[in-house]
Amino acid sequence: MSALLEADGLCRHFGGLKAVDGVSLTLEPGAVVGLIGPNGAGKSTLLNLMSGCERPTAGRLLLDGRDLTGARPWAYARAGVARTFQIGKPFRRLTVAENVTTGALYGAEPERRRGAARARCDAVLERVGLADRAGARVAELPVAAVRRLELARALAQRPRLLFLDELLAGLRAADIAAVVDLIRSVRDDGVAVVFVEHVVRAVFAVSDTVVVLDRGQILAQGTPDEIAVDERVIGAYLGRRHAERQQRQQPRGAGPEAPPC
Amino acid sequence: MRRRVRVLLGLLLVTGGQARAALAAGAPKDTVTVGAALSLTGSLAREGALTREGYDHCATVVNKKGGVHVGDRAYKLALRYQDDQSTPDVAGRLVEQMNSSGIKLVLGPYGSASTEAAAAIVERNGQVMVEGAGADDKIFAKGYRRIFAVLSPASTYLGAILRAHVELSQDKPKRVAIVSADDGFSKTAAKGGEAEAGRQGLEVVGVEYVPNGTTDVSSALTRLRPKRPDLVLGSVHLQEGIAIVKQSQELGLNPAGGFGETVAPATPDFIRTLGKSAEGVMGSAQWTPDVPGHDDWFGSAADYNTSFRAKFGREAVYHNAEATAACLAMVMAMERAGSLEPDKVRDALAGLDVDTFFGPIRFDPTGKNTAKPMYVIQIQDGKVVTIWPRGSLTQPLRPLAPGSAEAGGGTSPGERFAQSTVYGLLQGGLYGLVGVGFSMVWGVTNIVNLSQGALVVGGAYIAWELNATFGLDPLIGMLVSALVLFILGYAVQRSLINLVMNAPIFMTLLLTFGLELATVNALVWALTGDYRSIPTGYATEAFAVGGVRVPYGRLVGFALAVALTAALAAFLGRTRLGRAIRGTGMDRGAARLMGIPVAHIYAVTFGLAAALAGAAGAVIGTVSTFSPAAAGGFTLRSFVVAVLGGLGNMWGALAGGILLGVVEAWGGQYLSGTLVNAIAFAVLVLVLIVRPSGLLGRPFYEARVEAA
Amino acid sequence: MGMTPAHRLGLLAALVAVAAAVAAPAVADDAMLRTLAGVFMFAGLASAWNIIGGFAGYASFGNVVFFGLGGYTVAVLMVHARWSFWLTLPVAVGVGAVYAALVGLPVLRLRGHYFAIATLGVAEGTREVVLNLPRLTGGGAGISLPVLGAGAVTVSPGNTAFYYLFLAAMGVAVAVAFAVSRSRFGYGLRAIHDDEQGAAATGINTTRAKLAAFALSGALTAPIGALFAFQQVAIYPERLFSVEITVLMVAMAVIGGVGTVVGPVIGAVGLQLLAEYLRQRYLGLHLIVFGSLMVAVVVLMPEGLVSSLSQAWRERRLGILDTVRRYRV
Repeated sequence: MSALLEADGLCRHFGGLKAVDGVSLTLEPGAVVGLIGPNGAGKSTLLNLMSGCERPTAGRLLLDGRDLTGARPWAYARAGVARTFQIGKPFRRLTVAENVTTGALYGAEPERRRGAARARCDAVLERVGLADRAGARVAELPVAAVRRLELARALAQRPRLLFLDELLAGLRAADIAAVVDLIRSVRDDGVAVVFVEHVVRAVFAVSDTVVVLDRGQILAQGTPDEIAVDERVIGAYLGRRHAERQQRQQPRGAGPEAPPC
Repeated sequence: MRRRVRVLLGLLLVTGGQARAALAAGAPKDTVTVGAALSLTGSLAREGALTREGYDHCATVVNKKGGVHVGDRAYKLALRYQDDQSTPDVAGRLVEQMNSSGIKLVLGPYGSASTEAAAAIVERNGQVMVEGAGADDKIFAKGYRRIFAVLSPASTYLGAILRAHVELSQDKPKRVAIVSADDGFSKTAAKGGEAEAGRQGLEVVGVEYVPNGTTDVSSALTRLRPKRPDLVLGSVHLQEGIAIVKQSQELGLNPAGGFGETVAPATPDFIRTLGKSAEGVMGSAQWTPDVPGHDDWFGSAADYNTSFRAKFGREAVYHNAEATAACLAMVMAMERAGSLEPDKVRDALAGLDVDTFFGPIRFDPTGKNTAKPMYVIQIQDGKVVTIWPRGSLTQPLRPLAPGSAEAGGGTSPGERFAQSTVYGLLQGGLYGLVGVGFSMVWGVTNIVNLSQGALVVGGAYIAWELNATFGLDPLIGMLVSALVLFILGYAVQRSLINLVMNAPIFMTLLLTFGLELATVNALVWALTGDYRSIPTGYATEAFAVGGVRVPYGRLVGFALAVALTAALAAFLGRTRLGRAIRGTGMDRGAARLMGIPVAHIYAVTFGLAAALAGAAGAVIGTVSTFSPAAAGGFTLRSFVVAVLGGLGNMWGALAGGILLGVVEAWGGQYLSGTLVNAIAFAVLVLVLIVRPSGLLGRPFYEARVEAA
Repeated sequence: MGMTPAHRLGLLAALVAVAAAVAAPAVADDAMLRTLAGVFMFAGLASAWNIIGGFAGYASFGNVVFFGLGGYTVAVLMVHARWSFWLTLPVAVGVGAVYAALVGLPVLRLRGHYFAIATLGVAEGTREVVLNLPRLTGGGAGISLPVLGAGAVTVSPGNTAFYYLFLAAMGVAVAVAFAVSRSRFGYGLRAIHDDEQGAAATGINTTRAKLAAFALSGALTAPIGALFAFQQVAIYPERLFSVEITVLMVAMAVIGGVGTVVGPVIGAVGLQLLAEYLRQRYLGLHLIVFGSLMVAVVVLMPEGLVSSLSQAWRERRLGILDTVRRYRV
């Protein structure tokens, strides 16, 4: 039985610069993978490769055993991938509802009729907490709402793989907690989630696996506990803080609140 | 929403009614209103203005003599003008409007295309049209019964020149070459010329076609030169006609029998632009002040000229006379019919057989005036002189000075290739100069300036004006043009374009297009649509390298293009202001953070580009002709140059221009003269598809949508 | 999306307008009918352009090429093959769609100004090709459709018939634009306009959507050109491929309100009537005034008349300076 997503030796080179250099990864349904690493490690590029937004210079990508290497982004979306972008990319001149409806109309399980798509959109907005802003234009929304909007649009696609690129950057603690809960509920639906984050405690709180990227290569891979105390990772990125906190940590999955700072 | 629609419907009815009222307004009871849709704007604005003068003069004189005497009443003749914008379908619509407001008697527009469109409407509505400016025989092959033309048809233009030569020349020409524009009228005239040549036993060694309205006929001439014609005929309009003479001189084509052209030589622009080079050129003229004929309103042809000159302050040309004659024929018909009813007037016109200042007027069953011959003129001592058919007032044909015919050259394929390449290179330098500022503006401000051509033409006009008024050499005038246009460009960017910098791109495109529309038409209105060229002694002189001629004027232009490009590149690369410009082009936000006044920088950039365009205009004005109608062509070439060279790349723009010039020259030489424009566009589209960042450039902005 | 009161009002207004348009020939004279036919023609062209330019955001500056090809298709088929005009009309539609698809394949990969210039180049280049095939198209001398007199293949119907034909053409274009705007396809186009990369990641096949929009635009524009040729009888390349027609249709769509369905129609009506009025009133100067007005409208209302006016209606004030402040450098 093939994995949901299989990345094999992915490379993305720009001339001499190796943004991603030989990364291999497998994803099973319902897996939550946190992707961390220092700036410039290639995290966003890796997400781009796995969603078809960039073409790999070498390597292969299989979704459900089907070879989608070099396919265009919509092929990936049809195969079940949905993502958000680091620089938010909502459809700026459309309303919140129209944004999410677009996701419902296209995506992995596209609705052909607007009515059904709008219904799905309403459900997603409810789930994400934006139902009261359905008619608002993107320009009127605060940053936190825009992030949620992108997430909602991605969810409306009924993806099997959800890629989140620094969704939490600049959010307050309460908003972070809400997003983390959403990720958990999405995972419970059987969706595999890969999220790139610098808010490490959130990553540790909800991931099954943490992948650490450094200079285009996987530095380490394992459970949050393992990664937190991994000397290489500590040296390259984390520092001691997280190791100490992880040791003080309650067992994973305990409650909805974010762990104390 | 509902209110808006109602308001709109109301507006519609009101303006419709207003339009109709405007047409019929101001017409007291004893007036007969005759309509005329004319090209008051557009590419034929100049000729339209001359036609209007002719119609006006007719009305003035007729009314001074008591008006139109119909039966026992006298009617004042009133003319109602509309602007057809040199566009045939508009002319048709205007004639339709006239019919709806009761104007049944119509005078023709200028040009065969508009006349044809108007004729179809007139025929269908039961109106009547008399025209003096649509000579294409095609119009009269349709079985129309309500269209009457006082002028001799297109097919007679070149034939008259040939017959004049055969009758009057000491050394009759034997080998004739024809250069023709590819519009309907010119092609009909060319065919008529070929037929007459056959009848007279002359050999037609070549017929070359050039794009309508072009100022560059070099490829046609380069192809004809090796065939050693004795006589070169041009079935062309003023632009091409001037180019034929000028570029023949540059290229060393000097037929023993000289040149003969259809419409250009009889107009003052021709002589004024070409100066000494116009000597000896022959032309066809529908009328001159020396032709025989007499009528009770205007007297003789000379009398007509006198009264015209008294009113308008200059000599009458045939455009004026043929218009007056058309109007006069209409008046005569009304008087003879004793009625204003269109059917009766129509019948009176069909039966007209009169002598007028314009010559005899008698219409054949198709509506053509077959009684009047086409006259032939020659330019002698800077004046237009009638030489054929021989009559009491005509002058003898003056042969070209012996020994002025050169021994040709340029016969070998290698020489033709070299000539073509050299000419293309020099032309390309000018293209580069026109496009370099455009490229800079696009690269730095991301504005595509659709008014670029208007700036070039503006610069040409400034240099021309300085030359005409103060005798200033255009190379110095160029500096003034540049300065004036810098100020203008700065002001426009600062006050207008800066306001929409962040708007979607079609906004800036429409803005610059609106500016172009307003500017070009303001130039036409203020300075008329006349074609001009800045005369200098040296511009068309050339030196020869082997069989290849290199004209001085174009060489100087090329040198200037290189020098100005170098200056601009140095400015952008080495000076503080230049670097500020480049920085702002790369990242507006970062530039602001560094304290660079972005609005001012953008304005300086645009001003610089305008200054360069102005300089280019002054140079072009010297080596070729210009008029407001030429603006669009310059803008289009600028696109190609900018794209070829990469946006914001100055040397790239120059190189792109040179490449374009050479490709055009080769294409014109080896494929077909009329393909020149197609080649330019093909190059543009190909480069955009294959390498939008330009053949040489590194772009400021991403051209393509998809990722690598 | 249910029918809000505003929508209901809009529908009623549209019905009133349609009824007035259909009834007009009973009261209007030939000249007025011709003028209105011209308005409908441009409204149709602007609406067709809006699909690629307004919805998808790809500002084509060469849509006149479909207009010209439509006209020349019917002319060539009527003159050389002696087909009836009505038979040639669907061929014109096909030619418009196919040419758009062929041209669009390479050219839709470009964005912004590059796309605009490329389409302009295609239009001008096609005109030059038509100019250089004199045996087929008559070249610079133009070509006359055999619709008058004894040798007519299809007899030219009168002014009233052309009025209705252009009205129908406009109606089809507007109806298609309306259908697109409310369809899944329309959502896709709008997404492409706002963020093409995001649209692709959402699952929209942007290549296919853009091609479809362009082909649709071409297919709607070509028959209008065919009707124009039928009406004019004698056509010339300079006129049928005139860049001025492109600019006018873009201006109408943009000034009326790009991306809305009714904007291009309002823009067409407004600009055409304005041009007529100016031509009557300011003989010789009218283009100067027209150009200046265009500049003024662009500067003061960069979002188009419909958006600016409806916003002013909503906010009960004319926020001209706000708009200016938003778009200036």
